[in-house]
Amino acid sequence: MNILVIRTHRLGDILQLTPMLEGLKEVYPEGRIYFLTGREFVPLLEGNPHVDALIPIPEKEYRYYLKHEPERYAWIFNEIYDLIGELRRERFDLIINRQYEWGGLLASLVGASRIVGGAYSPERGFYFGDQPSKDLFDTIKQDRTSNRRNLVDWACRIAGLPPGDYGPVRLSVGHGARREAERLTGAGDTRPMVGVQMGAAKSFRQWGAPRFAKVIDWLIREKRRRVVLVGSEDERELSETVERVCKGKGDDLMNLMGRTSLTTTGAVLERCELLITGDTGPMHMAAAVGTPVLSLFFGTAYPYETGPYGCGHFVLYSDLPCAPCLDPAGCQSGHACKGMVTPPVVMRAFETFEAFRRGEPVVWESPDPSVRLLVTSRGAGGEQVLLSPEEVKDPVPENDRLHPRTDDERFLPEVLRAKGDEIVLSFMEGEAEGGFASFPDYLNQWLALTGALTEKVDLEAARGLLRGCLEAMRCGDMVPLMDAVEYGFKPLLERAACDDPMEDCRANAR
Amino acid sequence: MNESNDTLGENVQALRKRDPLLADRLRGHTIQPCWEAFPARNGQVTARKVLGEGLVRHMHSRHNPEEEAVRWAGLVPPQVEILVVLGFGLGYPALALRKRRYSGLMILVEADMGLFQLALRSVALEDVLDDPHTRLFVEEDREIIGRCIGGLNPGALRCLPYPPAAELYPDYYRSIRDIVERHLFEHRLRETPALSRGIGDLLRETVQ
Repeated sequence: MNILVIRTHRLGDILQLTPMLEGLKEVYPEGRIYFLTGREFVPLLEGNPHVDALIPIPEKEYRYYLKHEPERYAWIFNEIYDLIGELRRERFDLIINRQYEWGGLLASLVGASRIVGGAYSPERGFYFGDQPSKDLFDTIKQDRTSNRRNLVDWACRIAGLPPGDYGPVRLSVGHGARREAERLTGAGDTRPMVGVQMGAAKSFRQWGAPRFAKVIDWLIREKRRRVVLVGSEDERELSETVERVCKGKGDDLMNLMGRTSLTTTGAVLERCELLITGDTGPMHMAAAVGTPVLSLFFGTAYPYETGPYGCGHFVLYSDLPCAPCLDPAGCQSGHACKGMVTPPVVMRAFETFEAFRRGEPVVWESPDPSVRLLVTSRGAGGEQVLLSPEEVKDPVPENDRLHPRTDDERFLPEVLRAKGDEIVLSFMEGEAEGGFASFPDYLNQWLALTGALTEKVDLEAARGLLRGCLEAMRCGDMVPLMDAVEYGFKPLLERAACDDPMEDCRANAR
Repeated sequence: MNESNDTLGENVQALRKRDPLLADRLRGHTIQPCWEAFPARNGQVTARKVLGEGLVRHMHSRHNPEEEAVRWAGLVPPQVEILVVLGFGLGYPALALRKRRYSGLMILVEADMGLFQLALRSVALEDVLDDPHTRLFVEEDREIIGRCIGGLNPGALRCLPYPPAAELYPDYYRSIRDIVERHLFEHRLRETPALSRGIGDLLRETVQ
């Protein structure tokens, strides 16, 4: 059974498919699962035990070149042509398309015994050949409020899995990313830390930096928490307001926006007690590393559909008659849904969360009855349900059912060796940008590993090797980096058990 | 290090047999001082270019240039009959292709005459230079290369850059690759119209 899953972008949407992947492995233990995704999202799935082969595609670059350098059309056409040829050779039994029209077109070109989630034919155009996809589409189109099923559970149904509990959303962050997260957030500081993600893809889905700033200030002053800001480089200006309001808070406020890779963001979130966020990719990421979430849903966001998956997450939802919004640009109420979720409401939700985590029964009282607090849980059939805190009879089992954090094995020498080979391959294939981008993470993992391997590390030789790599990165010189992997780092790993594992390292540094 | 006048003489002799015009063009050129050849750890010659402001670019491994090139040559899909290699370097990539028993036609393109001269001085290249299944273009006009490629069977054609060399002259190599890709693209449009239409739809959807 060869299965191809197509989802090229949006980190939250990719992570939301991980329970489905687990379910597919459960139902087809001998099957091979291929996942076609955007090249920049590969780290989200690299350590996933339910994916047999990752097929990265530079979709973002394609989009850029097709718009701005149309003379590259022939190159891209030929690359896609070759990709389709390779995929056809796999003779897929099932293609699960979660990329709508684009995925449907690709799926139809690749071909499979069965295509679900949206297919395409020149005669019919884009169409849904399977009942769950039709049902999901009709529900969303006609009346979203009638839907009570999370998209994670919809994906399992679309894949043809029987209703059930197929495990949590999942992200393996790896030892190198954990080490980096420790460095960034203070390895020795054991005070509880709350993550805050302020940005959102659409402006009408952003709660606003001034509101976040009030909550953050309160968390630091009143609740004695450290706060770490996560987010992308594009969102960095949001942090200026927070830094102004929280001036003088020292290292109680850490701004990591734009400073972390995908996996390091995951590792930072893993260290958090809670993430406060809107309906965002990092929300799913926090859930995927076992960190509870307090998420704010208003505007077009609908928690039954895209709420954080798993047990024990909190959702504040502006449940107005017009929610979820279908036309934010044409809103007549001045986005009242957003204004109703005031900073004091979020503070109260945080305190409710604290009580819940202590295993105390909780009661939610909002100044505005339209703002509901919902807790994620599992229904009788295994699918996700949202309950009011009062409906949660015993919070302790719900807490226990939060995705347990487990150390993965990505720091093992074989995994690091494979990563080194991938970097060399990137350079050799002419993907220098990707090779240079991956190298710092590789260095980081290597440092973490050598720290764990031996106490006899010759620091001087290691420094020489690392200096050489940094210089090569500065020059944009790929050959010394390939050499370092092949003749420096790799032999060291292979000889990890020897008396003097740094011998090759020293030779390379000379 | 096996640099010697013998190497240069034998290489030029082999080149003259297959491409006397290129052999003649060598006479007017000297190797720019920015090119430096030096021994790799395994004794073979490797090279780097000094770009100024402390920047350097290595052409081949400082440990084992041959092994590195053999690994690169492993990227060539088995069914390819005509291969356009962008970047000759010191010739290790071309030698490695033959070593891996690649038996198709090789079109070797090098943008820098200085580097090519350094290659002739440093590495025994007769197996490539004297090979009837090899065409070599050094600092050649793009139109001339284009005419050569245009006369080849596009269905059998693939382009493979040797990145350390190709990255030094991105515009030049990109224009050569454009020629190859366009030739292949037009062939595919003709030969597989339905699939090509589908890919066209997919690319339109990509920019939506």
